[in-house]
Amino acid sequence: MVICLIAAVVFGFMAIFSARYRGYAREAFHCVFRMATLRKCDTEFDKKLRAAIVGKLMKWPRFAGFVYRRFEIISWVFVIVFFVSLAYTGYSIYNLIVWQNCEGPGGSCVFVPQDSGTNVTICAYGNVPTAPPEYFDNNASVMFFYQDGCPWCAKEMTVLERLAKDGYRIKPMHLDTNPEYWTEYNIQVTPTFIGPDGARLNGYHDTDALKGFLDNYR
Amino acid sequence: MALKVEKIRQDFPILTKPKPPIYFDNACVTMKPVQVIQAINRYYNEFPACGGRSLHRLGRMVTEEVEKARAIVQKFFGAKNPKEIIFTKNTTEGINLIANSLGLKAGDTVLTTDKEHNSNLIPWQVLGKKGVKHKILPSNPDNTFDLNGFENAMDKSVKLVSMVHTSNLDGVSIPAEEVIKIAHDNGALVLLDAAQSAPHKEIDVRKLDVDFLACSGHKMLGPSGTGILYGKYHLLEQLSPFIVGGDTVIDTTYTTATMEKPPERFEAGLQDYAGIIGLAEATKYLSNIGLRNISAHEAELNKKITDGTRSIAGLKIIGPVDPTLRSGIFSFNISGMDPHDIAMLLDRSAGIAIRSGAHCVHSWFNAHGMKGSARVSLYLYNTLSECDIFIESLTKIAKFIR
Repeated sequence: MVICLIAAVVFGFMAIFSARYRGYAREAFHCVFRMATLRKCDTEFDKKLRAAIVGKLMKWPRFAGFVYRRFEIISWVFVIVFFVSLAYTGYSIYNLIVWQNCEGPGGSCVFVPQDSGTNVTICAYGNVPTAPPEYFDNNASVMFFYQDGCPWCAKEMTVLERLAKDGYRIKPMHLDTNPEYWTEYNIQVTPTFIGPDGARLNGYHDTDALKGFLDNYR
Repeated sequence: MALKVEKIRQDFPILTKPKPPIYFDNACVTMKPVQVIQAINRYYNEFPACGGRSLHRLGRMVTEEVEKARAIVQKFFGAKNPKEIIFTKNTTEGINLIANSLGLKAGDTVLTTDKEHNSNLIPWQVLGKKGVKHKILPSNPDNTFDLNGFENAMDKSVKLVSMVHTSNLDGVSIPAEEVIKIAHDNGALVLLDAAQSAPHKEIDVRKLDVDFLACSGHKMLGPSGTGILYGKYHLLEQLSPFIVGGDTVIDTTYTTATMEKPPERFEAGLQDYAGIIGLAEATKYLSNIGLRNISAHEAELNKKITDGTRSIAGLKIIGPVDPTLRSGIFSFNISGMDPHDIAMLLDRSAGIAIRSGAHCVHSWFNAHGMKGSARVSLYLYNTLSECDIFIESLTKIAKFIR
């Protein structure tokens, strides 16, 4: 019974990617449905599955016997491992998309060594400054508030890199090393730009929009 | 004369593939030789028309070929007259035809053994609702036929003895000649279910003096969905038709029909002409090889398997241990193992095809409190080395998987 349940999940997932498993998935779901409606499974799918797997292992008869006798437990172990792996993979993919690294905020980018000299770890599409970026200038009039692990900050930095070639500079305001900036400057979101006149640009902006803002202070 | 098995195997396309199956499910269906396949194709390629009706050249060719086929099958069974051969779909249809056409009435008794295939059990249960009694003769403890018990069971109310000639459960054959003689002495007719005997042993219906005999073509190298019902002509003449329609009548009005004589009376509608022609070719093929040679070959294979599996702990043979009493069938259980598991493991691990389950003899298994068995059924193209592989695989499964 448990094997049908496990098979329905596993083959159901695999059937999304391969037609080869759709027949198995259908039979497993049929079994699960019958069990859910308090009826006996009428296809002996669990036995067929066990025989199919153990039959292939008969080259190593002792191992085949081990698997045959403990098939249910082994199935449970595999399914738990499967779901844990699936969950961890999903979490990692989410982090990669949102935080640009697999471990989430505060995590290290696997492509980049730690500590680039600015206490900032940046994984901005492979652009990894190992020295303070060209556009960082403590004398610049426009302040740029950012924090580690902020993917939009990282994205904004790639825009700043492009603008740096045209001489645009900003004053780096690192929130992780200076947490008092959050309240002092009433920062709600990162990245945030604040001009010398107090004008704000909140969130990520593309090249044209950011250039337009910075041009007010050139 | 020993069979030239390797030469025979060349006639079977599936057995000439690089990794042929080890096919031990011949009691269900047999493989088909190229000669049968070619005969079937000849119909479709050369004269794919309808027989017994149309007067054009193609129609006449079909009619002639079917009658030729009937004569070949008549000769195969030693029948007196080709009109005693009725082409059916299978043994089941043949038995049902007799059951529904014989005119059994309330109070009549039909006597069968206790290990009949469902096809020779259910028709009598159905007739039971009309008052026809069904008496079951128990077998001996080792599943052999109880001839004394049969004599005692025969009385004047028994109108029909309908028995499996060779059991698909365990391969045991009834002493047909003695059974028929006793039955006739008591005024009863005899119908033999020859599904498992006709493909494997010589049957001379006149020597046996059997009244009716039904068998399946697909169990004797013939095409699927073909069968033969033999009946003594004077008895067939008295039977009312089972299925009626086209070709069973000479003439009709809106309210009446003039029935054909046998065998056409029992061959309603367009027939499986390709199948009939292929079936005749199959019987020719078997005759050329010789059924005695086939029986001897199966006995040798069964002995090898029986001896080779003797040392497997917990293995129990269904039927007598002596392989000479079990035709080409080796039906068994291994304690602690589901027969379906055994069959599936043999298939997945070594490509060995056997049958598992109740083999359509549910009644016997239920009466003995068993779920089923695994069954090996051998035939002319199986080899001793296949038996060795089976023994080795089964031994491994019994040792490590249980």
